[in-house]
Amino acid sequence: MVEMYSDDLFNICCRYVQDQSFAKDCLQESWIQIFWNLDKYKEEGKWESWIKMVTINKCKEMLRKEGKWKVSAIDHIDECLDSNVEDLIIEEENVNMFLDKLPQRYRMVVNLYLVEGYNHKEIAAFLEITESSSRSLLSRALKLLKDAFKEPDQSESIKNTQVKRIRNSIYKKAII
Amino acid sequence: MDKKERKISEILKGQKFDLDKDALWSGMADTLPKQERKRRGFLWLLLLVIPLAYGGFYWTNLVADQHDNEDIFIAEKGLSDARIDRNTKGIETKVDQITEIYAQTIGEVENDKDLDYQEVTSYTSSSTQGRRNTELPTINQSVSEIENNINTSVSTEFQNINPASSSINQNENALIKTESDLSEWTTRNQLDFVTLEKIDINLSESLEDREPNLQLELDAHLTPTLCCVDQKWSVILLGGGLKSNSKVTGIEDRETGLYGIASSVKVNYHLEKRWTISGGLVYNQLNTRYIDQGEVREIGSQPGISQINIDALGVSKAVQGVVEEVSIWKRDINWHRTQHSFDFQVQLQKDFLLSSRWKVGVAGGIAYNLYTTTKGYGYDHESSGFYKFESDEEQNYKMNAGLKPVVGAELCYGLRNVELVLSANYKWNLSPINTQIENYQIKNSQTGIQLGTRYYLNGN
Repeated sequence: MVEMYSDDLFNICCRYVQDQSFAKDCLQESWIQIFWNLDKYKEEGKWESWIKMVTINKCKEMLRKEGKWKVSAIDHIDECLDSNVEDLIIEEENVNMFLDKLPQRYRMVVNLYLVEGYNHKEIAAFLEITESSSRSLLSRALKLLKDAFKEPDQSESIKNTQVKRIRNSIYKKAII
Repeated sequence: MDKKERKISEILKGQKFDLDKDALWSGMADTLPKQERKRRGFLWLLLLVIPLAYGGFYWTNLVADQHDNEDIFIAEKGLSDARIDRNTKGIETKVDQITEIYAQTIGEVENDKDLDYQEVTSYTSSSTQGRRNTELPTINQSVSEIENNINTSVSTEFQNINPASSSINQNENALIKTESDLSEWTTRNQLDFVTLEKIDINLSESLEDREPNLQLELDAHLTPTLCCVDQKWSVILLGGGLKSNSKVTGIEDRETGLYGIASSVKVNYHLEKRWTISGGLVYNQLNTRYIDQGEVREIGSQPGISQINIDALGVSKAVQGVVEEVSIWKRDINWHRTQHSFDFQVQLQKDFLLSSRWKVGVAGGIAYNLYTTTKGYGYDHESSGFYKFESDEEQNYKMNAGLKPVVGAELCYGLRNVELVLSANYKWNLSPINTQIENYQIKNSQTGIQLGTRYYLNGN
């Protein structure tokens, strides 16, 4: 079971916490919790969903313990981000860089909404906040995302332009 | 979700991070060593207990069979010895009594005859001669009167003699009666089974009105359960254990239920929302023992000489009639009966959670009886011995009873991968299983109570 599900669970941990070493600790603690609470699995949902939920909860719990679970004021969220994150191309490296700069709670909301597919009600219940707070958090986080990244089509054109420039410079150097 | 969000979502979902699983497992293994050992130990314990239970059961059955054989021998020998002793001693006693009575009677008859005859003769001759010598002139006058007197005296004397004569007749009658008793005693052995048959017929008639008693089973089930990874399928490898059967519907109320055994091989398919459908074979074995020990008083009748009549001439005459026969003997019967039945059972179960540990399930379904038979020992009155029997369709009941609806409920307490289960079920035959009125009746319905464990290999 550990062999079968650990990769997926580790990916989840890595998305929710910042460094991989801490993510490993989260995964290990998650498995221990799963083993000791097998009797609480009610067979109502899928097994995979249950162990994923246990893992996300464990990540949240460990972030709290480590003091990394801090609520940043929404008004000051822009300060947390560098000024040069705007107009990023949507690539894995840039997405990770952007998420790393986000406060934990925003990072959690973005993951819950974009990856897990939770709605406001579920996010509110999970983070133990009101539904209106959940809406504010998510809309703010999504606005930051939209501001930071170019539209996918634009990103492609920018990317193509950059590639052309590099090719031209190489070609010129070669002629000279 | 717009294009930008969808693109970011795809990137996030597609992210892969390398993980050293060996290091992860080694870190976790330290926290869970005892649990693993316990799991395997419990499984081995289960796998050991089941064959032990079955082995023990069949061993005790084997011992019981041997004991039964000994009982048969002892019973047969005891019956024969008792009869030989009883008949021999009875005949010897009767012969002694008859001989003694005969000797006394013969002596008394001879004495009485001699004595009475002498008295009558001397009295008659002396009275007649004396009157002729001393009172001759008046003889002619009073001849008729004297003759009348003589006749009267003789008549009176004869009347005195009659009691002695009747006592002789009575002694002769007693002798005849004693001889007839002797002949009755010699034929007693052949008459015993006749009287027994009559008694049993009466018993069968009284049993016709008797309702079969409650059949209650108490099972101690061990039901290890295998679950596959997707949590959909599980297999109950074996559900078995000791069963106490209190069914008491035999020839006498003394037929008691003994231990039994129940096994099943079922496949469960777990549907959504805690519905489970299961199907498989169920084997039931029930045992009864009939012990009949004690003094038996048999009352019957036989044709024979019942009385002696004496006519006016003192001649005795035997009258044919009916003699009541009473015999008392010791009976020691010990027999054993085993009922085997195979059912194919399908049922649907719905579970309700009371809490994280407690669960209640209700189930309903149908069982199809594939085969039922009874084996054991019976008692043959004619041969006064036991015989092994196996029921067939004509003798006792149907070997295939057809469909049996089943309803049941269970209460479970979950302990990690193990569940403690207390369950009850009730099933009944749609068509009566008994084919005719027999001394041995099988109840048409069956109530079961099971207490056991259920083990989940791959998580509950």
